[in-house]
Amino acid sequence: MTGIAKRFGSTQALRGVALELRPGEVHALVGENGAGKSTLMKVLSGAVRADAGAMTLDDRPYAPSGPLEARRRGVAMIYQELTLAPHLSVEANVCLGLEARRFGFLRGAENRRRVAEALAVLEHPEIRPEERVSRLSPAAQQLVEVARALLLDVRVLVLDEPTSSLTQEDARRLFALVRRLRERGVTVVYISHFLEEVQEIADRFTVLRDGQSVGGGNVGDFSRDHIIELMVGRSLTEQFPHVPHTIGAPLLELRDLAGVELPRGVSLTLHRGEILGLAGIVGAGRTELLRAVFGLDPVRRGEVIVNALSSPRATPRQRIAQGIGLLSEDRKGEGLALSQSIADNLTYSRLGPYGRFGWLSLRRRAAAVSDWLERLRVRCRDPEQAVGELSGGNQQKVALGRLLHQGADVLLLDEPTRGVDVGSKAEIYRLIGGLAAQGKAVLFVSSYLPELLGVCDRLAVLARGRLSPVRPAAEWAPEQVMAYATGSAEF
Amino acid sequence: MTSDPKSLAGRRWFALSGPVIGLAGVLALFLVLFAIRGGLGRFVSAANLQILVHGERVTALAALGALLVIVSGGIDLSIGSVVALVTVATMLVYIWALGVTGSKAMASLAAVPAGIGVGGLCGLTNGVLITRLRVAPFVVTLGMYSAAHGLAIWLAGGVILNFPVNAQPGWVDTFATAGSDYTFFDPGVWVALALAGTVAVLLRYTVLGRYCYAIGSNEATARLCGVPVERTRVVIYTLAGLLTGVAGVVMFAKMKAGDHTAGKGLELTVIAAVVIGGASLSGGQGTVLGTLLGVLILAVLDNGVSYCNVPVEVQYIVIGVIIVANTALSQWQRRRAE
Repeated sequence: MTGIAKRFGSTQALRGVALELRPGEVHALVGENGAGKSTLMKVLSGAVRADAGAMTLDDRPYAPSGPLEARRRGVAMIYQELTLAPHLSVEANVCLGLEARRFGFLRGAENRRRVAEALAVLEHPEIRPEERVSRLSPAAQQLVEVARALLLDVRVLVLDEPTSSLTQEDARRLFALVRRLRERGVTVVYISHFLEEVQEIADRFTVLRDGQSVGGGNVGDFSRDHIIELMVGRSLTEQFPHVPHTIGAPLLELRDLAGVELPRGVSLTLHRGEILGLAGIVGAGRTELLRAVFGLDPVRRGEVIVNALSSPRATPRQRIAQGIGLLSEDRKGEGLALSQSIADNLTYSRLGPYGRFGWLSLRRRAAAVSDWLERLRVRCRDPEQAVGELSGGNQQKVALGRLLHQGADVLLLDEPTRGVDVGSKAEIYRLIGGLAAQGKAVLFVSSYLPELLGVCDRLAVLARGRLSPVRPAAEWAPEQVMAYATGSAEF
Repeated sequence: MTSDPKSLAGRRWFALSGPVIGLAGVLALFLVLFAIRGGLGRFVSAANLQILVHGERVTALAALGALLVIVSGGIDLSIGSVVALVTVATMLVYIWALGVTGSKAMASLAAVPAGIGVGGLCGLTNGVLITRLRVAPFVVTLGMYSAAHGLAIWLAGGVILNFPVNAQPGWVDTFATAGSDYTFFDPGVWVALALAGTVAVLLRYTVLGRYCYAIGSNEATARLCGVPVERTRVVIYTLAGLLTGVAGVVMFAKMKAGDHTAGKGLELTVIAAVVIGGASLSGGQGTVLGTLLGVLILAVLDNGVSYCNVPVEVQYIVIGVIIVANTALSQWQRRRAE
C-alpha cells in the first residue's frame, strides 16, 4: 500500500500511508485511537475506498470494489465489533454472501462441507455448525468470524483489536490460531493497543500517528517504551501518573452481597480517598457485582451500606441520590446515548439544577456543561455535537463526567479505559487519581492488570463470584493475581 | 457453548412452544366453556373445522407475505388497503375482459393474474421507495396504506362493484363456501396451504430466505458479507405484495365484489398472527409453522366466540390480551433458556 489517503468530511483520516506486508508474517499495526489504523485496514479490506494511493497484491494492482471482492482476492478483516447475524446458525454466518447455490436454492451438503473445513482449522470442536451464533461466547463468536475469512483462500487476515473482549485463556488460544495461520503462509495484520501482545505475537510492526506511518521494523529491535514514544509522539515518562491522595473514613461497605447467580457473597469496605481495584477474568462476576451494588441487578442477600446507612435493595435512582455512580463497561450500548449531544449525555442523571417546574433552562445548562468539558479536558467542537462523533477516549471522559456531574461520591468504574488509546488512558488515570484526592471513593474494575497495579491503592481478585482478600496493590504480584483469577489458587 | 445435538432439534421445537401453548390454551378454554354450556359436539366437528379454517384463509395468505417482511426486519402496514385495491382491480378487469371476450373463463383468466399483479406492484413500489428514498418501512407502507385505499375508492367510483347480472363465474362460489365435498377444505384454504409450503421452503432452503433472516438479524453484517441488501429487500416486498395480491383475489371471491372497504384493519390482524407465531418485530426470527399457528389461534378465538354468543368486542379484548401475554411468555422462555 502506498500513498493511501482518505478524508471523512473535514477530518483527514489518512495522509499518504505506506505499508508493506510480507507473506507469512504477523504484522502489528499500532497507534493511538484516531491514528487511522482501522481506516487503513478498511481500505485494505474493501469496506472503505481511498481517495488517493495505490495497492498491489502479489505484484498485481489491487483495488477492491467492496468487502466481497477483497475476500475473493484473499483479504479478509475481522472487526472489533463482531459482525455476525445473531439469529443465524454458525454455518449460515460463515457462508453468508458466499453460499453454494443452484438455481437460488442452497446446496446444503456442499455448504456444510466447506464450513466444516473452515471450522476444522480453528481446532475448536465445541463450535458446532448448527448452533445459533447468539448462544456462543464472545470468544467463540470471534472464531466464527475467523472461519468466515477462511472459507475463501485467505492471504491477508486483518484482526482489529481481537483480544479486547477476550479472557486471557481465550486470548492465548487465539494466539495459537494466529501462529497456525502464519505457518500456513497467511499474513496476519494485528491491530492492538496492548504492546505486551504485540511483543508476544508480532514479527514486525508499523506505527501510525495522525494518519501517517511514523516508523516500524522488527518487533525484537524495539523496546516497549520506544514504541510508545513513536505512538504518542512524545516521551511518556509516566504511564501511570500518581496523584497523591489520603485514605479516610469508610464510605461504602458490602456485607456478603449476593446476586441471583453472581456475585456469591462479597464483603468489602471502600474508604474515602481510596482507589480499590477489582481484578478477575470475564465472567467472574465483577460487572454483576457493580450492577448489584448500583441496583441494576437484583440482590439476593447481603447488605449494601452507604455512609453507615444500610439499604440492600434500591433502584439506580435511589443509589444516585445516595451518591453512587456507575460507569458501564459497555460504553456504546449502555453507557452513552451515542446519537444524543455531549451536553445531554453529561447531564442526563442530574437535570434538576437546570429545571424549573419541568422546564429545562438550556442556557444555564450550556454554561455549566462548557465548564465541565474544560475541567475534563474533552476535545470536541461543540457541546451540542453528538457524543458518538468523539474518539473513544473523549467519549469515556464524557461518561465519567456524568458521574461527577451527578455529584457521585462512590464511583463504580467498569473497565474505564476499554477502547481508549494510550494518551487518553493516562489522562483518565490522572482524573481518577484527582477524584481520590478530593475524597471520593473509587471501585476500579479492569481486565488490564498493569493499570490496576499502577493506579490502585488496594486490590482484590474476584473469581467465580467470590472475592479474594483485599491487599495493598504493592503486595500483589501479577502471577498471584492470575492464579487467583483463574482459580488455580484458592482463597 | 457446548450442547448435545438432541437439544438443538429440541430448541427448534422450543421456539414453537409459545404458539403451541397459546393454541392449546385457547382450545382448552373453549372446550371447557362448551362442556359446561353444552354444544361441545357442535364445536368439535369436521364441519366446524372446515368453517374455522375457511374463516382465516385471507389472513393466512396475507400473513405469509407479512412474515417475509417481518423476518427481514421490516413491516407492512399497507396490507388491508392493498387487499381492497386488489378486489376492485380484479372486478374491473373481469368486467372489462368479459365485455371483450364474452367468456367468463377468459375473463377470470385475465382478472386473477391482474389482481395478483396489482398486489405485487404495490409491494414493488413499497420496496423501491424504502430502498431508494431510504425511508423507514413503517412510513412508506403507511403512505401506501393511504394511497392504495384512495386509489381503490377512486377506481371503484366510490361504490361497491358487484358482478353484472348472470356474469358471476362458478369458481367464485366454491371459494366463498366453507369446506368441499371432494377435497374436504375449500380451494382457498388449499391455496393458502400450498403457498405456506412454498414460503417455508423459500425461507429454509434458498439463498433468498437465508438473506431474509440475515438482513433482519444484522443488516450491517449482511452488507459487509456482500449480501445485496437493497435488491433482496425489493424482492421481499414484491413477494409479500404478490401474496397480498392472492389474498386480495380470495377476498374478491369471498365478497363476490370489488369492495373498497374490504380488508379493513387486516394488516393489524396479520401482524398479530405473525407475532403470536413467534416472530420478532425487530427481525431475524419467525417461521411459517409459527405463523400458521398464530393464524389458527385467532381463528379459534373468532370461531369460539361466535359460538358462545359473546359480543364481538369481547373477542377484540381477548385478542389484545393474547398478543401481549403470548409475547411476554416467549420472552420469558427465551430469558430462561439463555
